[in-house]
Amino acid sequence: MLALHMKTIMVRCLSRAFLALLLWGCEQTVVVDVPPHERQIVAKGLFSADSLWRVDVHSSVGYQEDLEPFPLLDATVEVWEEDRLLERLQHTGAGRYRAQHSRPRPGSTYRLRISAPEYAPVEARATLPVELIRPRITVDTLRDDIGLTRLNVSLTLDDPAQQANFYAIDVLQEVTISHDDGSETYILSGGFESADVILNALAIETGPTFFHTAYFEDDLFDGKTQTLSLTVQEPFFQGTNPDPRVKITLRFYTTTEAFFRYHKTLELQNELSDNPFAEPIRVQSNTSNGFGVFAGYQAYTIVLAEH
Amino acid sequence: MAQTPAAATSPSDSLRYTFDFRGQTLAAALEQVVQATNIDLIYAPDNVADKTTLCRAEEMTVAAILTCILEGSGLSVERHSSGAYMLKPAAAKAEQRPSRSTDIGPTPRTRYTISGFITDEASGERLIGATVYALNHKVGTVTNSYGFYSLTLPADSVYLRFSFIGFASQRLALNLTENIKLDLPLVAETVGLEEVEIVAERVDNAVESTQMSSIALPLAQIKQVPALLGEADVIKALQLLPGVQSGGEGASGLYVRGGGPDQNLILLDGAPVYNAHHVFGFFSVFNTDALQHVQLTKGGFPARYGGRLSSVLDISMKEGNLKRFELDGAVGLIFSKLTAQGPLIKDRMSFIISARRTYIDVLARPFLRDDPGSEDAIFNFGDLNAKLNYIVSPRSRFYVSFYAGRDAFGNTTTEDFGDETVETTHARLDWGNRTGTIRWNYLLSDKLFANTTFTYSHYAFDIGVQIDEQFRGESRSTAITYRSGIEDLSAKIDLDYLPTPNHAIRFGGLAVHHWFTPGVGQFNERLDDVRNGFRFTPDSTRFSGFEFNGYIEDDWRIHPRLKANLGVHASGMYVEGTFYSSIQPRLAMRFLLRDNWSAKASFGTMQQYLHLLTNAGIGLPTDLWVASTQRIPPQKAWQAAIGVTHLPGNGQWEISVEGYYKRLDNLIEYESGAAFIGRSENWQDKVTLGEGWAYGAEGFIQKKQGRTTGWLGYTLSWTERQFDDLNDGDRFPYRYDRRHDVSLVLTHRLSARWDLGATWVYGTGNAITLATARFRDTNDLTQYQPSVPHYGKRNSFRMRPYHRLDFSLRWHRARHTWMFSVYNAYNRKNPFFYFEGRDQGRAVYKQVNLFPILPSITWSFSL
Repeated sequence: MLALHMKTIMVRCLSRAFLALLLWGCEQTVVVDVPPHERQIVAKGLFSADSLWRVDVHSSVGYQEDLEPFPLLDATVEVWEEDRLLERLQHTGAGRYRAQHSRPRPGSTYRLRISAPEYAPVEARATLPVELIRPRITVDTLRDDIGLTRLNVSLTLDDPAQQANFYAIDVLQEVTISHDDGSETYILSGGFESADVILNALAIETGPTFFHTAYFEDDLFDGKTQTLSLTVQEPFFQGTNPDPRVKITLRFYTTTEAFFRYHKTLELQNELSDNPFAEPIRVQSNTSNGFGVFAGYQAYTIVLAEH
Repeated sequence: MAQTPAAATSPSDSLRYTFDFRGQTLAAALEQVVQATNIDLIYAPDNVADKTTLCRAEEMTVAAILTCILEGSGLSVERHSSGAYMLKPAAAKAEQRPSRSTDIGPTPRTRYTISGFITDEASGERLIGATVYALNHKVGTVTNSYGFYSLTLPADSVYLRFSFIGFASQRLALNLTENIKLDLPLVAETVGLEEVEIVAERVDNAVESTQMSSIALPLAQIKQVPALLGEADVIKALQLLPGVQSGGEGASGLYVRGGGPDQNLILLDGAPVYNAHHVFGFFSVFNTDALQHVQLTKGGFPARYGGRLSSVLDISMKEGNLKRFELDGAVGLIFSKLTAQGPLIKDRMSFIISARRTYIDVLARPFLRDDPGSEDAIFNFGDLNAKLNYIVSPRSRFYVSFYAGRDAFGNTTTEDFGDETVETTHARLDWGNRTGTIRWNYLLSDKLFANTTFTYSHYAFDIGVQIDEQFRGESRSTAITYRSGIEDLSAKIDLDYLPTPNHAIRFGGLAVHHWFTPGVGQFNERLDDVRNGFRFTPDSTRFSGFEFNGYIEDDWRIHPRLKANLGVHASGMYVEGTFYSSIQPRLAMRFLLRDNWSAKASFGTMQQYLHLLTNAGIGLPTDLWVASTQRIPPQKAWQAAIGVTHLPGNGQWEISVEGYYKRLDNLIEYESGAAFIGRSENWQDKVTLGEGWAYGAEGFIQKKQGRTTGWLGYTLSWTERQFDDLNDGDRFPYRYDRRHDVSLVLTHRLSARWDLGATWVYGTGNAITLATARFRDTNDLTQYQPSVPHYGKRNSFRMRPYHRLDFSLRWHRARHTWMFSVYNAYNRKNPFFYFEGRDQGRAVYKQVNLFPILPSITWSFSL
């Protein structure tokens, strides 16, 4: 948490300095003469070997338009493998398009083609990674005086040499609450903390950083065995009877550069959004004529705790 | 006095004047004639001493008036071929040879040297850039940075004029039959309503000199420019010159001809100042009360300058009054300052000490008290200048000077979480410079002057956060500190050799040892009494580099109309096993088109071994100074410029136009998203290399004399950058690309006690990157769909134009000055930055304005 303090305090310190100087400083809304935005198709299609094709499609809007981005309900969404149409995805509502039968295969390259009335068609290419990296994981469970449980996770991976590799980690919490009428299960993004430089090489803050999902590349450990340390805080329930069932799962993704660049730039853009002096980050996209990402990944899942 | 134009063969002959000198001394009468008619008048002061005149002249020409004044004095007047009038003893008249500048003296090939120092008569301080001009030879020179001049001329009579901005000119007639050592004190003008006032003098005669793109701004003028909160600021005054831009509202950064703030070599008594800003750039670190001379060179660099690509700002501190003790001070809205100076040994040794401190923390305290949890806020900054000056002998002089400045910001907050946990957080952000100079001037001969300088410079910023937690009787303390800085130790020698009036040769060398600390973080933890800690930036610790340079240049008068400055600057840098070197040719030429017209051209290459890592672009103290390395080569540039200078109105006006083209290479920028603070990674991993272009034209019209003085500057410019890893590799406008930049500076003497000043500035808005569209990022797991802005091309939008009008009104008596000023008189809401916000649920851009109309008052005193 020290990292959060650092950032908060720095912002506070700097902002007070400005306040002291600029006693009468103020802000006002300004109209910027931005050229009209030609709406574009936004596609997000992340795929792995164990799922059917699925792509979310919506429309971008001009930044100053009095309108939120909206789903495209009448788009034509096709997945091609070389010159062969694999499947035209079906709209299942709210801009979600799903395949009925076809699945991605590791090592294959696919093309996504989307068209919609009054929109320029978009296209993207992506390959499903062949390799599924399976890290070795050890977990130490620590319980403190007041009953909070912390999982210290050590994750060791063998990075393939001579190639750029991209990874991601997230932690899910599956919580099942029983009651008289049965039970309900919630899957939540649990997140984790880490002070590892591999995971936050570009972070502004120092000290441990909290992640929902950590995206990283192997440029600092190409071809080597690398161990990462992270801490997962178990959910704490007070006054529930019986205690809910909790299953904490770590997912380790082997991804592609397009996957990594999209999510990393999204994360950086968000981090720097409070700094008016920093150069803004453009979220990188691999779709031509549009926004979003079409990328494959392989996921390795391991249960860290279940009780 | 009245004047009536009449037809005649020359301007002075064509005018008729009316004077009444009856009962006045000859000296006073002659001075009145000079002031009223602008003629060059040469005479030996001894010849007119203790003589009076009874002349009353009505509607008479200058020649007739002079004859009238001299009647009965034993003197007569003669007109020299240069146009000057010369007064000579009547008996000597018959012996005079015809005054031909190329044919003077019995043995024309015998040459003698007149050399010495020009000083301020009141304080004994040496005057930099004073002109010594031999009227009958039409050649001259200017004093160097230590007040020294040397002029070698043929034997026989010589008529010299000594002049310096703000001082009464002196004219001397000498019979040159041997080498002469002549130290001359000049007397400051007593400025009256009708008297001459000169502002913003070019380094020497703007037409005569080969130097282009350089200007010396007098401190008196800087103090008259209306200033933010009444605090006169050297750098803000320089921003009013063409080709020099500010970063934005209130900022003290210098952006010279498309260069970045790191590309300016800012020297205080020869020591580099790495961060010249207080309070995030709103004020510069230079206390105008402690300064003697300010000179900015933005192009056409002579070979003696090196190490930066865009400009050299050379600032000299006062030396201290050798004659009498002085105490000056000022009380303003934001600063108070006090300066003491005086002789330790009269005419031999002097000191000056000047201190400045803000009380903005006192002003801000009531506002901060409203902030819950804020217990102890610190906002203060200040600086101290000191100098010691010792004249060992007429040939030898020592100076020791020192500067220290510091900004301290921070606060302490306490939060009680109500579960027996109390957390106290101490945060601070400090930064500052320290410089020191030891300088030895030694006159090796009448023609050879040596200056040896040792300097020390240190800049550091330090961020720290400490959190003390108390929980059920246990205490835990964690702290993070982050430090960065640069430290220099240098030795330098400069020699000026003046063999003839046609050659001014300078040569010398510099060696600098740099120590870089681009970022060291330290984490410490204490749980009850157990401590541990670690440094989390092992790859970025302190390292050193060695930089050196040597130069030689000759200011060569090839022909009466053609003059060239030819030189070469060689430099090198050794850092961590990597060696870089560079040979940089420099050339500047001047061609006299007519008497008051000259055309100039210059070309030079520059190399810079230091880089400034900045992601804010506004000169925050968190910017990091780093050295060139094996992976990051030195910055390079070349610049070519051409220009025309004209001095109409008998020197009352100066008009110049210059065009320039500058090419920059090996510039560095942070990669997208990188920032100053990181862990264990090397800064070199975060940066990308690119190039830049800057070109444009600058116009400058200056009125130098009269009750109303000032200038109008205009710059039309383009500045672009290109980095393979930014903006899809496409060229983009530099953030401070400013198509139009206008500055109007006026001062008007209302009466002997009242002055009015005004400045108006206009600049095209800064180039910024804005979002053009929005889309959503869908996430199956969290169902959270953040709105994602999409940014167009880098810096493809413009902020609103910047313009502002400031006024000042100054009332002064002998020992007191009151300055009333109004900043942003018509309350223009100039943009400081834009950010993305929401207004009634809709995405909009918002602009933050800084300073509305800000009146201020400053009282200055002198004891």
